[in-house]
Parts: sequence; structure tokens; C-alpha cells
Amino acid sequence: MKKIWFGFLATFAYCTAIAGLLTLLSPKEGFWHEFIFAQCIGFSISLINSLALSRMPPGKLRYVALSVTLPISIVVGVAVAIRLTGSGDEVYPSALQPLLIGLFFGIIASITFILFERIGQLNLEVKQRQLSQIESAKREMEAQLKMLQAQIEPHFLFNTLANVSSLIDNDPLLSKKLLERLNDWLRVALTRARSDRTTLGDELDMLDNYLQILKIRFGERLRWTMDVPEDVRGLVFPPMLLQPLVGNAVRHGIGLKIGGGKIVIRAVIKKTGLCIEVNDSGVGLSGDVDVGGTGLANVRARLATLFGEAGKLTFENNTKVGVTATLELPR
Amino acid sequence: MKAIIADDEMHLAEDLRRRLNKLWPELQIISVVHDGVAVTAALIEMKPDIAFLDICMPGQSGLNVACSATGDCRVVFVTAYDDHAVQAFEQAAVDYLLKPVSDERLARCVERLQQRSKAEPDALLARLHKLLAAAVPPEKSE
Repeated sequence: MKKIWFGFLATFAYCTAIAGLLTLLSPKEGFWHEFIFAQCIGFSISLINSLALSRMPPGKLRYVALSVTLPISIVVGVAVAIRLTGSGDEVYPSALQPLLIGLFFGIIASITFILFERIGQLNLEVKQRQLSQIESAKREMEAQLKMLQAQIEPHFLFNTLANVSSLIDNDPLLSKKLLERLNDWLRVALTRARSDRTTLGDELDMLDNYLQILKIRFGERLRWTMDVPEDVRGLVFPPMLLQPLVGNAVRHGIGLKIGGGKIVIRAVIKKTGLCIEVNDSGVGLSGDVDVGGTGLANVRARLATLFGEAGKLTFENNTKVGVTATLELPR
Repeated sequence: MKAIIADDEMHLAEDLRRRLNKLWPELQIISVVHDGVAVTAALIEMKPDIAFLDICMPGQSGLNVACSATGDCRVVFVTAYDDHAVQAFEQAAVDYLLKPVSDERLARCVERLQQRSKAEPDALLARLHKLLAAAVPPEKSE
């Protein structure tokens, strides 16, 4: 709205100034005569430009269109002005004069108008680009934060700390052991995540620590084995991809089964790449595959970023009992 | 007053029992169980006045099991997960403790439970008093 009022005022002022100038140059017709003509032509040009040129994309086409609309607008403006001033045949002989004057001032005004529009558009583009940069930086930070949260696993931390606290009076040695293991795990979880040169062996060592912590809490209900040959352990492997799977297996599979169960981690090299299975003998999936929330979503997102379509994570109920989560990475 | 404790992690269940003994020696902890099925059985058979329930347990979740608690049994949820608070409220739980539970927080919970159990005998006495006053005619002063 402000823009329209500004345009209106600018046109009015511009035309008044032209009328004044023309009156000074040839006072024959009088100021009001020049004023009416100037305003009619000016607003005619302004109106037709706003309607036609604004709709067009920026570029040379606008200027081509201007060469057509300008003469038309001037003729329209002159016609209206003649009607208003009532001057008919007197003006006719000098029709060329208003046309030329109109063209002269009209071209200046129209080009100025087009340039202003372009500047406004460019400013808008710059602002939009800045905004999208800020948005993208914000999304990246949020993703990193979510990744960190998922890695730290707050429920795992709180539950483990509760256990440490509960053991302090009655079994201080065990409490201390638990605290030390938690410390080791945290150190690895928080620093390894940033490293590029981690191996599958490193990840399995960290998982062993993680499971030892859970064992102190779950007791005999948690058992596990890792079936990974030495040469496979040496392979480069992105950090923190397996822990959410194991955490899931314990929390939603074994933890909910009376008597507990066993986790088997198996890794094998196939033609398509590395294939890692996390098998549990827990309660199984109840239809909704994506149990586990943020942790699993995080794994999928990282797989997609690192390997695109070639990285896969699938869940399947085992024939007898429990679930197998399969992680597939390309060579 | 009788209470039961349910937590699938043995250390935490034992710890809660010890701390409750200290804070509320008159409270009798008649059973400590470790899965949802055992909790349901304990609630039905032993009819405790108070039940301290973990939520993530094998068998049945603490929230589901709370339905088996009879009307007079007060339920306190003890869990590391804060996303069950709304459901806990719908189960009319007396309190919702987040693990690890600090001593002050547990003390506040115990206070709350004690106040509730005190309020009832007083209300009963008040009603009894009214009934007696209505039944016995007022003495005429000489």
C-alpha cells in the first residue's frame, strides 16, 4: 500500500514540476493548462506502466514493451487532457509538441521506474538468500544437537546414575566400578563422534563397555556375544551407528521380556559391502517398525548422508523369537 | 500402612526399599517385585495401600498395571522417562518421581502420602462426631 501512495505522490510531483518548467519556457498556455496536460499524461503513463510492465519479468523485454506502451499512454493522456480543458482544434496543430515533450519526460520517468523496481527486487533476493542461509545454518545446528542428544541417550544416563546412587551405601565397590565404566563410555561417545578414522573394532569395544554397564543394571537378564572376525574389525566404520541399534534391542526387546534374553552382534563382508546384524531374543516388533524414536531416525539420516541409497537399515521379526536389525554399508 | 515396590532393576528396587524404611519406618513394605505380571498379582492378592511402580518393566508397563490397583491404593510412579506424565495423571497417580530420585524429592512424596492417609481418619471422626451429636439429646443446664 505504501508503495502505491509513494508512486502516486512521485508522479504528481514530477508532473507538477514539468508543468512548472514548461510554463516558464512558454508561458503562452498558462500554468493550469500545462498542469492538466502534464498530470493526465503523467498518470496515464504511470498507470499503464504499473499495469503492464510490473507483470513482466526483469530484462530487455521490459524496455521493448515500454517503447510500445509509452506512445499509447501519451496519446491517451493527451486525449483526456483535451477533454478536461475543452481545448479542441486549437491544440491540434501543435499535437506533435505534447507528444515529443511527453516522450522526453516519459522515457526518463519510465526508465527510472523500471530501475527502481529492479533495485527493489534485487534487495528482496539478497534478503531472501540471507534468510535461507540463516535457516540452513539453524537446521544444521539442530541436526547436530539432535545427534548429540541421541548419542548421549539421556534415559540411559539417568538410569545408570540412579543405579550408581543406589549402590553407594550398600555396595560402594560396584558403585565405583559402574561410575568408571560410565565415565569411559561418555568419553568415547562424546569424542569419537567427531573422528573420521574409527574402525568397526573401536565401535565394538565401546559397545562392550555399554553392554557391561547395562549388565550391572539388568543382571542375568542380559547376555551377549559378538561374532566378528579380526579382519572385519579393522575396517573403517562411521562411529555411533551401532549403539542405537543395540540400545533399542535392550530397551524394547530384552528389557520388556520376563527373564531377559541374548544379543548377538554379527558382521560379515558380502559382495555388496559390509553387513552387520544385531539380533535379540526379546519381545519382538508389534507391527510398528520404527520403535526407538530419535536414535533410529538419526542412524537413518546419517546413513543417507554418508552413503545415499546404498546404506540400508532394516528390521525383521525372527522366525522364532526376537528381532534382527540389519545394517548394510557399501564397500 | 502396606506398600509394594516394583522395578525391574534390582539395585533400584532395593535402594527404594531402604530409603523408604528410613523416611517412613511405620510403612510396611510387604513385597518387592520385578515385572509387570508379578505386580498385577501383588496388587490383587495383597491389596496394598500404596504402590511404587516403575513404568518400563517386562511383561506389562507400570501404567497398564496401575489399572489393577483398587480404588484405595495410591500409586506413585518412579521412572527415568519424563514422557509418561500425562498418562500418569490420567491414572490419578499421587506422584511421579524422576530417577535418580533425590532424598528431598522422596521426602516430599512421603509427606504427601502421609498427609493423604491422615486426612481420611480425621474426616471419619468428624462425621462420627456429628452423628453422635444428633443422636444424643442436649443436656439441660440447671
